[in-house]
Amino acid sequence: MIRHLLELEELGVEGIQAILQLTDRFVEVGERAIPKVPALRGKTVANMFFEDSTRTRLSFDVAAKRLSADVLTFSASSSSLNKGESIRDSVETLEAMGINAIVVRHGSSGVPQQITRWVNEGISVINAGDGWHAHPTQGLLDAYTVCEHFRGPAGPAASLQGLHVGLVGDILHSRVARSDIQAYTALGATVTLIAPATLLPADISTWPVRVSQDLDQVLPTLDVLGLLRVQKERMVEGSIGSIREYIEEFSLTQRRVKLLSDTAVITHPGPVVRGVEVTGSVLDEYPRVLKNRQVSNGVAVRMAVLFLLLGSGAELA
Amino acid sequence: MPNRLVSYFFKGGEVVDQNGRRYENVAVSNGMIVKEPSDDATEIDINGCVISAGLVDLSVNFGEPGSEDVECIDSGSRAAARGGFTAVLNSSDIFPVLDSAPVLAEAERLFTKSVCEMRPSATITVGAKGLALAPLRELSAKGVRWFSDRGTIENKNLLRKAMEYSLSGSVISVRPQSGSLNGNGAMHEGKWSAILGLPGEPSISETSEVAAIIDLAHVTGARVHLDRISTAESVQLLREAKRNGIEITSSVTIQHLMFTDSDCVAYDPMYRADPPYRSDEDREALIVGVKDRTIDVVVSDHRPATAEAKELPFDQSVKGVAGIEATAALLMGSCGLDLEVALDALSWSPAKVAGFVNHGNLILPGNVANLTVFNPRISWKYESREQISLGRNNPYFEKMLTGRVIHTIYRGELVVTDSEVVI
Amino acid sequence: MADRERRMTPPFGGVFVATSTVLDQAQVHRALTRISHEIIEKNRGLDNIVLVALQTGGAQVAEHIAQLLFEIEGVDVPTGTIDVALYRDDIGLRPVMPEAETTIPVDLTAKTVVLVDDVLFTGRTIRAALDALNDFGRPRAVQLAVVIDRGHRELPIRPDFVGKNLPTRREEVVDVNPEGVLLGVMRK
Repeated sequence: MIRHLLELEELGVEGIQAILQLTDRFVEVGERAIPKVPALRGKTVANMFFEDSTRTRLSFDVAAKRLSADVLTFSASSSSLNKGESIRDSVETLEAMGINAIVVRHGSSGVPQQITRWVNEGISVINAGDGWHAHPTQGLLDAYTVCEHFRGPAGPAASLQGLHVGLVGDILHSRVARSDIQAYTALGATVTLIAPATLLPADISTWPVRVSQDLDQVLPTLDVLGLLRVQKERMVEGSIGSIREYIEEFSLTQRRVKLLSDTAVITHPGPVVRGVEVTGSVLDEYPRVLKNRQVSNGVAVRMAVLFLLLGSGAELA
Repeated sequence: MPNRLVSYFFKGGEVVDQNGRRYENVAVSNGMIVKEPSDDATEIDINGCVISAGLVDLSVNFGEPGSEDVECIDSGSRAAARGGFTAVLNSSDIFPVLDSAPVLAEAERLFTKSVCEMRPSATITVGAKGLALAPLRELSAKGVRWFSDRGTIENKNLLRKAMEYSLSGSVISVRPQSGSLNGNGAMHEGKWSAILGLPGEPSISETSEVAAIIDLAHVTGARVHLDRISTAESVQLLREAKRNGIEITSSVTIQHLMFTDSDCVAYDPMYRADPPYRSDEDREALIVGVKDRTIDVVVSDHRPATAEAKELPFDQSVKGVAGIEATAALLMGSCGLDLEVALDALSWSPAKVAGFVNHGNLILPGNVANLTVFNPRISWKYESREQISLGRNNPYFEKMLTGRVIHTIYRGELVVTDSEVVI
Repeated sequence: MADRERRMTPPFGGVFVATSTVLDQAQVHRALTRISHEIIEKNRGLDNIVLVALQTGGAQVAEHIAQLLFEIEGVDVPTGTIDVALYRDDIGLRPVMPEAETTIPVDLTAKTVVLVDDVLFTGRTIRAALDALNDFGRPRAVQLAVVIDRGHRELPIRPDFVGKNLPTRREEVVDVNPEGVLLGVMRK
């Protein structure tokens, strides 16, 4: 039985499928007139966000509240961390208040895993994004959204077999890319990474992916185009020459979007930097942009994860 | 350390020194190894043990003066003695930085508290900032033999000048790490850094510096030491340099013979190190380098830290471990080395490299009695609560180790007996 | 009894071993026909009636009743399903997983809902269902139809329409399947 959700690797294919199947139920709950169930009444979920993240925090917030859990929010900027308190002391303080789960976002890879070593049994740690490492609920919600689009509700054996997913952008610094790769490939999709070598990790020989530096060539073969954010500071560190040059080669422009097949979909984890990874009008005009569906499904996926870890008592993986 | 007039007679052990192995009893009197035990000599049975020259550690970080909370000379030197060391070279990586005669004088005054021989190293540049040369000749004249900024010196012209300017007998020690190629790495750059999403420090960050420093050593003819190498390529470069007759020495930490980048998998800051633990191929190449004596010296790189400093996020935590009490056991017990090789790397070579003239010598009457008695077969548990060092950063806590230092004799006196410090 | 409930009744797991047949297929059909007539009679027709089946055991029963209602009155009664796992009062006490679809085809406000389940036991599932229904609107009335009422109620809940009252021991298990109703026990 799993207690924490740190990354997707540890779930295995069946674990991922079980969460997606449960997500079906919570998508339905979200469509009700009163989209709230009493399942986690009396449970308390603490959101510990050491790094700013409005969307993920709100999504976990809504998910917990729709399950009737109580939510505490601990944000680093307004907390005693500014006064030099250690993460461990902060965690232990929350623990003493009687919480059941900690949802952690931190700029350094591995912090959620470190926290698991400091909490008592009975407290679940959920990774809401750590450094460049993992963002498991994002991986799950992306896979769910793609599955839903192409195959309908996930059911007990969600599969993306036969689909070709391209992830474009800053892979090196992207926790979303790492979790997406795990989720997509676990469900049988083929994944191609498209980025200049400076935005890829030095050694991805163990990753189950293909790599390309030619977006134009890959686009027609894709069923899913996953756009990733590119930050302008990458220019300063010499990972890209200029934004103009990056757009020229790797941005989804009006010209390039025409290379996509008639059925291909576009995903974006948000927030979008319009004009860098994608031309703004493409997002507005292309008929199959799943961005908003990703956000809705994100709530359902997080409800599924919270319910699994806190409520179900179910055995998983 | 005053010499009390004491005599010991170590019986039943196996002597191992540069002349080989032999079963021989060793008599110690008035600080020296003597031919015959005196009448009042205390007999000590060391059956099943090896008696060798005392161990010499060329990289320890005792925080006094300045960082007494992580380690002071008393605690550090006792820990060293318990680990079998009779001589240690303290890092210049302390605050205040040892870059002038007054700081040297203060350091030497404090070093008298040590229960083993303790020597300072001084920085090559003022404040270890890499901008202007420290008074190498003055410090050298006052007895400093080891100069190191602990990191590399980016300005290679300045490094060349340091090599040329230093007096003969001085060692210029450089930890090869490129400031511009290091990638601000939290760990080794490779498949594990890709998986774990941590910034990686590539091997070339070290290897490029090793190549440059070997060339400088060749051109200047200075005595140059490469401090804590970590890559297979570095070992190969050194092997070739030595084959070409370039006088350059090097060290590796015991940890780099034990751990690899895959040990970072649980983000345990205990496995963050400087240089980072490399790939398994690198680790194997380092062990081969020690075996074939390309790498002269193995160091503990005893780098004590508080528990808090190792509870930070992995990429912000302090590097290194405080393992001096286990170093000998690990090298002689776990690395699959011949005892002679291990002792060469832990005693004979480092004593020669750093000029500890009374250490690492033959076990012969007339030599100063700096000795270590080691039981290679004993199994023991490294209990954290029994550790002497104040450092809480120790991956060996509560682990079972094979081989243990039983007695340490410094200038003829038993400092450690039955693995406990007794003075 | 639903597969789900069977799996989750402590001791968990085991194999159902039938000891006797309670109703055969024809008897079930007759019982449901009677229930259908009672529903029509009690509600003076089928205006504003919605059948809501409890997942998963009630689903087949509700379909059967809907079919009979159509045969009798010629009216297609809206039929939905509801999974009450998320409303249970024993979450955290035993494994609880929502496994089946909830589909409520119409707004329940001002409707008369007939909840349909296979077996009525402690009443806790019905309590959860009453809570769940509230989230889909405010029904004018809620009625309960079950194939078997086996007693052992733990809450003040009683059925409006019952196929058969069956005295049981607590540890016994009632299995309602398309071929009939069996009484038995779980064996490891």
